[in-house]
Amino acid sequence: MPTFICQHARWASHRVAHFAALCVALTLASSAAAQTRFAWPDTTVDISKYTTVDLCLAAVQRVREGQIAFGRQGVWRDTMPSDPQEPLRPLPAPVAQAATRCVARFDPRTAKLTDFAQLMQLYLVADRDADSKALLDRRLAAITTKGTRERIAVEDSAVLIYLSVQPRRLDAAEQLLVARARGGADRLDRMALYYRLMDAARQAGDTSRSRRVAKWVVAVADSLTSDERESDKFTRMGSEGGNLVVFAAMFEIVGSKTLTDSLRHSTKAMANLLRTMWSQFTKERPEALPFPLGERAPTITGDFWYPREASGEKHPAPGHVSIVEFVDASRLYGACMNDSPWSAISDYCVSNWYFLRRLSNRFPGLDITLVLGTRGNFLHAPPPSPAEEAELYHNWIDPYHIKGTVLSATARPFWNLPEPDGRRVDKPAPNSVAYSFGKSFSSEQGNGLGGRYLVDQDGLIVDVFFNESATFGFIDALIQREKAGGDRASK
Amino acid sequence: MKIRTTSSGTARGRRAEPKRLLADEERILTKEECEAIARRIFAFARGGGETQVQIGSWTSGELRWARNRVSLASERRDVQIEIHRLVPDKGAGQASTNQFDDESLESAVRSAERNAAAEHRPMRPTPGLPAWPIGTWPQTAIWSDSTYNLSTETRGEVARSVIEPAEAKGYLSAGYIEAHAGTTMRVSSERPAGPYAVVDVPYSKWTQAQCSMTVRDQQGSGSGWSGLSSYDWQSIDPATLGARAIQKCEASRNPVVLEPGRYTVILEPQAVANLMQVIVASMGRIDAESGGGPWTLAVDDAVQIGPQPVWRTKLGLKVIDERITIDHDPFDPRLGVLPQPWMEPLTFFDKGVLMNLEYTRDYAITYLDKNAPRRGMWGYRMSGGTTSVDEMIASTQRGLLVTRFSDIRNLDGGSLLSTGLTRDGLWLIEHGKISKAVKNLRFTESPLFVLNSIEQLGVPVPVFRPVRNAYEQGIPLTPAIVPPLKARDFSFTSTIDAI
Repeated sequence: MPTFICQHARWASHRVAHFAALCVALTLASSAAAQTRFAWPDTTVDISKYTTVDLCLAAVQRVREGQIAFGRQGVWRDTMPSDPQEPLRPLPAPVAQAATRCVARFDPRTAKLTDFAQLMQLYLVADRDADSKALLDRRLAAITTKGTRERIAVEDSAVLIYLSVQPRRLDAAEQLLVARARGGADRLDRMALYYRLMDAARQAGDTSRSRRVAKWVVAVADSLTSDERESDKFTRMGSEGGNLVVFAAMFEIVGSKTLTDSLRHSTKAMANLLRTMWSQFTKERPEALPFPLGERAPTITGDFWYPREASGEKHPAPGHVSIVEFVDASRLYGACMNDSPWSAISDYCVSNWYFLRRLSNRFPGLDITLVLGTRGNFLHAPPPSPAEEAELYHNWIDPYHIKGTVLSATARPFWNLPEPDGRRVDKPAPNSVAYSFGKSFSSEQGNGLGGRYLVDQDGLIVDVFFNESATFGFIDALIQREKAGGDRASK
Repeated sequence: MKIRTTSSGTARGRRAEPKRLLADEERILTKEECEAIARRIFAFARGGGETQVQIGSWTSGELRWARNRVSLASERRDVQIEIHRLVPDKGAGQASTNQFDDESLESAVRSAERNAAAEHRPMRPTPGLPAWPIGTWPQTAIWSDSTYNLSTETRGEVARSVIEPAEAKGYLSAGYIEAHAGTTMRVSSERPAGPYAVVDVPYSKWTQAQCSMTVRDQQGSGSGWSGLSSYDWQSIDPATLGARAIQKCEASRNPVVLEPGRYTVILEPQAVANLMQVIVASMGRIDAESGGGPWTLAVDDAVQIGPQPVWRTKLGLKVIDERITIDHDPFDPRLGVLPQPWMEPLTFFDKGVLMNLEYTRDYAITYLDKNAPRRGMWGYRMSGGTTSVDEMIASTQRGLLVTRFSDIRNLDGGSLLSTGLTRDGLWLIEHGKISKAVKNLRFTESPLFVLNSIEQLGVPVPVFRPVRNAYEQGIPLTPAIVPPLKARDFSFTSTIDAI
């Protein structure tokens, strides 16, 4: 055999041996790999890799919702009063951390201006207020000198963000609003802008700011001409018109403490104080104050009383601090409760009962009269008679254990549109007529919770607003006044 | 009912095989089986509260063909069990399964309870509220053994019988046959053995069948369609439907273009039902009393309900031709209505006068001192006359005969002005005779205008109005019994190319 052939044969056999060994190794390796246990991939979300502002905002919102849900596990606040300072507190740390990580990639000098509103929110949540301001300045600088409407819209967006982000940025909002008010807005616009700031500060629990801004509102109102007072802009200001804007500002300046001090002397003194200030700042007659403060509370009448012995009594009870609460049942079904008897959506309705329960627990001598005009329905019960309806309401309210409560139900007169329409048209119940004062104050507004009146021991109406802390102060003052010898004006 | 279950000795960590298998001979659940499943679910609940169970079962056999060849023949069935747990101090949670062995049901109940706990919204009963009223259900029987028993082989034979004549003539046919049957039941652990409240649904069963087909020529110049749906397969005659589709295809070949404009139209029943759907969707009373839709009249400043003035409606006013009465009868199985405790025979239009509009229980309670919603015009009968379509044609000097409409969209809620297309056969009538096929047209017209421009009415007949899986999804069926009609001045606004 030639040498060449032999060498080639050896070489070939070596190659075959190598190839076979490689195959065995690969086979073993692959079977070993197949037996590797499945490991769950890392699904941790790295939000710093998010590339758009929308994704960041959604991620931060998810973290925030998660934190809220987590908080609910420990405390369900449905029976507790709302905390006015809550909007001024910082968000939970994980929310700010999420915003910080996600927003790191966005530079306020180069970010797209179309993203300004969303990015501003993220900067504020991430505590990068300077960047938020820089972005807003860039956005405002991009507006041409003729773009007045656009400028106002951008500023409005920024104000809205400052007043809705947590914690609220009242300083920044004030800076923008004041700059606009002083930058050529007419007096009515300035008044509206100041009122907006005052309202936001009040809702955020910043009383010193709300009081300071309220003075600006009153000052502008004081300078209005009679034409301006009669203008559409004034009568449509706020939700109820310019006079009530002035009244709210006046209330803010006076403060519940001053009113309480006045109430300690007499109810008439407090009412006169408010009427005088109303007249002074709105240029209206003192009697035109659109709230029945200091008016005599009529005695409640009723066809059905719970407890039944209450039918022989006078309510509001003479000699007692009383609350008269009109139960507006016109939208009980749907707005207040759903079909399930396990409804948790009923907080909106039952918050009233929790509030009254807190009051009755703190002031055991309080006389509470719930006033009902029947509507011919109660949830999904077959259409009840007035007596049955009153009974159903009693059964519903009774388990909330509001001490000192009586329920008066009156069969409300009604008529029906002719068939085939057939709609029921309710007439005002006698009690609601008695508790409606002038054209502007109705006990049954028909859009929610009805009217509520705080009545003193002499039967005079003290309060109709029911800010929880102020009301507690009023009742305290009335009780102290009684101990000190009663209403000095009535002596 | 036989239930095949596997042993519970599966290795831990391995996913168990599905254990819910219906025996072949039974395709839907009986009342006793549903009640037994509900009882077992109630027993698995932990932590108190209420359990609500909805149990549905259905079977569906279908056959589809296109270009003269069957493309799909199926026989499907399923069970759906939806469990709602309302757990005190936790929340409300829901879970679904289609397996009903003990292990699967318990697992689903636990899942619903986990979902309730995850909701983080503690619940507690609102005290002192009245119980749900007890309901009385009308006895309806939308059940047909012939529909339930329609086999795959029979459906194949039916398809063959309608494909062969079309193929013999060189046409292309496409169509669909379906036989559907199902059951539904919804009960609560608060009322496990009845009497049932109005929110419960006692066991009920139903069938639905449909057959429809399109025949076209090879050149695509002519198209004929026919179809019918009913709870009862016996009332559907596929041979007649097939012959009608072929005849319409032949007659609609080589259409001419016609100038759009106002024409007298003869609408076949299917076209009437297509057009009426716009009215069906407009029958909400709350909309009418909010100033929207066609049935609003005007604001009545003299009357207030709460702080708002009242919108008067057209209830009680004559709004359409006095020859038209449209009603609904829950006891008529042709209208395909599952029993509900508040249902009653109802007239929507009585001799042209608007008599009833749809409203919810919420509305009824708040405004009418009633405790029952009112059904909308879902499943209705429209009165007619005695004139046949042939007689309508014979009495028409110049007009159009419409087979059906498609793609109808409402353009204006107040007038119900709508637009849509004619399809599958449109013919010009001249001097009392069909003179030629016409290319399809787009119409822009209000059905209210049509119902006020009626010249002649024919005998009402059921039409093709199927809604797939309606009961499972909670969508009411809209079967209709309508007449052909002849109306003047129907507005066509453009020509379209589709055949």
